[in-house]
Amino acid sequence: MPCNAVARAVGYVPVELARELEALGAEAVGKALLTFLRRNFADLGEPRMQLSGGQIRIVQGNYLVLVIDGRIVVNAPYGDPKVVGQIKDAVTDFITGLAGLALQKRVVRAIRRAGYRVSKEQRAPNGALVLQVEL
Amino acid sequence: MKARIVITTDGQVSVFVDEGTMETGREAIERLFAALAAQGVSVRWDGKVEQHRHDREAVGHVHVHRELKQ
Repeated sequence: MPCNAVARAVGYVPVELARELEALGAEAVGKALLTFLRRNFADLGEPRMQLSGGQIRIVQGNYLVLVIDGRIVVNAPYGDPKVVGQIKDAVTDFITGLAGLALQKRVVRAIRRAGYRVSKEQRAPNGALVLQVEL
Repeated sequence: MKARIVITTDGQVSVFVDEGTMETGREAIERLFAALAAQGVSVRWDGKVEQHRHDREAVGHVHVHRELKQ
């Protein structure tokens, strides 16, 4: 990406997992996670989801995945601990990515609501959102 | 004034002001971050503004930085 600029500033908006997931909605997050598990851990069996309040509970074979207030828990009393670790890492990456997308949307919405005109919006190969605006 | 805003999935918000001067760019960036805060998005920023360009005439790749800090 070209970086010529008369002025450049870099700031940071902390990703609050629980907040971003709540904004997306438990059902949407749960469905996305279901698809992710079905695709990436197909050998463990068909995943089944239960939603309770904001809590997402997915059982796939011997493995239980819980997402509660932004925390990710994987339990499997009769499962392979190595697989538990693999599921937890994969689900954490996936959920963190979803939260990042939600955060990007939130920032773009705030920019528009603040009255700035966004003339172009595109996604870079690294997942970053690049906006052209009039300040 | 024309600018680009780059938002990464890990929450980094970079603002590149392409027109005006470094000083007017700083003012525009400050206004933007204040406006975002008013919309409930607090950008943590150390107040540092850089001038940033690549000198295409030079052999190789040269970064020219000028810093202006409050």
